[in-house]
Amino acid sequence: MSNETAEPTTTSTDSGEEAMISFSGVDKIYGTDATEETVTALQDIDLDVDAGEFVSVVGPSGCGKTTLLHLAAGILEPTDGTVTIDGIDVQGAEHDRSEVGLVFQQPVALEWRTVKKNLLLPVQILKQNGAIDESMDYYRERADELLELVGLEGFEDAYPNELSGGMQQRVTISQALIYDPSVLLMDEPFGSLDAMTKDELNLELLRIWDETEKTVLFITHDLNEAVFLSDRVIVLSPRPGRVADEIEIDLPRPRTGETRSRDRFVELSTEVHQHFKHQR
Amino acid sequence: MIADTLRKLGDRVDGRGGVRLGTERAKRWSLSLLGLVLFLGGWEAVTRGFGLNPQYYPGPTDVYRELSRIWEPILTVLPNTLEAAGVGFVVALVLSIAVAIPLVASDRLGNALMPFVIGVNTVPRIAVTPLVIYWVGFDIGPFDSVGLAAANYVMAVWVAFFPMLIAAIDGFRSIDETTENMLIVYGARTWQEFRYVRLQRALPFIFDGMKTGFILAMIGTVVGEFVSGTPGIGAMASSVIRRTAVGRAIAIVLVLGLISTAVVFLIYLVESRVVHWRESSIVGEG
Ligand SMILES: Nc1ncnc2c1ncn2[C@@H]1O[C@H](COP(=O)(O)OP(=O)(O)O)[C@@H](O)[C@H]1O
Ligand SMILES: [Mg+2]
Repeated sequence: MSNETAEPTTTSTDSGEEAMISFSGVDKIYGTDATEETVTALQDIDLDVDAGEFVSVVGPSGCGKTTLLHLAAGILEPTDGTVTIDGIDVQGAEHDRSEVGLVFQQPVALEWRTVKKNLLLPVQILKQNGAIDESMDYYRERADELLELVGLEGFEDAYPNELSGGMQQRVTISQALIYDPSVLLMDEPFGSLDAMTKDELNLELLRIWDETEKTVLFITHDLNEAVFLSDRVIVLSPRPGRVADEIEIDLPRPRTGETRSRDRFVELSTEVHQHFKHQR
Repeated sequence: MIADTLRKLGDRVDGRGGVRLGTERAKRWSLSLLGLVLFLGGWEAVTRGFGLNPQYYPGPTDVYRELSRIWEPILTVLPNTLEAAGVGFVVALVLSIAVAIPLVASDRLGNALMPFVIGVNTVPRIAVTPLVIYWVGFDIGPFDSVGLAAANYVMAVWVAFFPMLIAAIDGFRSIDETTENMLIVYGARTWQEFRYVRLQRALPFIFDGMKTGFILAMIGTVVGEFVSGTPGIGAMASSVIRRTAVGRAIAIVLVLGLISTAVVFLIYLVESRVVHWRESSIVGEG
């Protein structure tokens, strides 16, 4: 996919209808019962992610990144405002579950299912609910391909407790990809991995994104990772989380290992880091 | 190339050390055996050493003698007791799961009925045995009595059901937040939640419930027989106790204990087969 054409203006927050993921006027307050203490996790979030765009969200821990992602996934309901995917309210009945994949911060593999059966779990559910049409055989084959892609071939019949944390995380990633959602929400997916594996999976992720034209909303606390991957980096302020800044990443694509040593990469990375310091 | 990196990490857990585990198990068994021998020896020594009257304070050899004497009568009535306890146990198991699912699936139902369930569970259910016999066993209408022995089946269900229900409810509720969120993302319906996650998460709880449940079903039936006098181990125990044949009473209790232990072990074996992804425990939890 070409990012040159996907960048009509410097900020895409005003692109309105065509946004794939759209937060408008979103507040999220936890514990709204009168008795509980309330936490305003997010305030006044206006954020649009265009189709095919790769956007990262960075911010100090506890600033509401996971909350933001769970709002987009329809797991949480906004206290105020609306979140839409492809123009449809994610809280509504019209929302198409097969359009959204979520890579959780923790592994989610079920311990009684083999790796491959875990991959096929979302397929079983979505198929039974009529959200996807392809045959089961098609997805079984796709599962094998995905396992190879994330480096888990040979582990189809292993159980999750036989895998390391990093490997389980790969299962989680493949699980979100198997039904080919057009939107991929990722919550610090590589946070638990060592630097080398992380770099490799970053390149792999960009390759998948490039080939499949997915819209990605990516959460990380690694600022360099955010710059390396994204078209745009959103900086959230600490509690309550607000959009403090957004930085356009105009590095050329495809990005490679060599991208990190470019002057422009260093400049942008410094800019993001700088901004982060101002937040504290 | 990612696969290669991973393989170099070599972090797949394997089940080595099986041989060492085997000798350790043998050591544990021989220790248990030693403990048993010491206990029986001590018991025998005390009863003999102090010259206690074997009618009131029998030693292990007295109990063994009594056991061999009443072995045949025990075998003739045992099927009655085992059938009542077994059928009662299975009915209580099926009922407990069938009731737990709607209570967990619907918050409203759960909120309405949980106080009742917990309340009944804390009542000493054995205490109402005479009432059960009266209502079920006597011909007092409005229904025809199905016979005195039917009360023993009902007792087994009545005593075993509530703890098993609570175990099943705990089990079906034991889903973590991340898994629940995952199911929301896939748009899973309630039945899919149960079919794909809650049932499997509940199994260890249900099996633990079964271990205590069977013991309770036995207690319910035996106490039923004890009170009603219908042929069974319970009635036998009651008549023996009335004649202060202590040795026989201990022999009967021993048989009951061995049967329960054997069944609990059987449940454990089935569990470790079915719940293969998790270490099973022999002891159920109340
Ligand atoms: N279920 C919850 N109830 C109450 N407060 C919560 C809940 N989940 C998160 N929070 C609070 O909301 C804030 C944002 O949390 P989160 O979105 O997890 O942050 P991040 O992912 O950026 O670390 C934190 O202060 C956290 O304590
Ligand atoms: Mg988080």
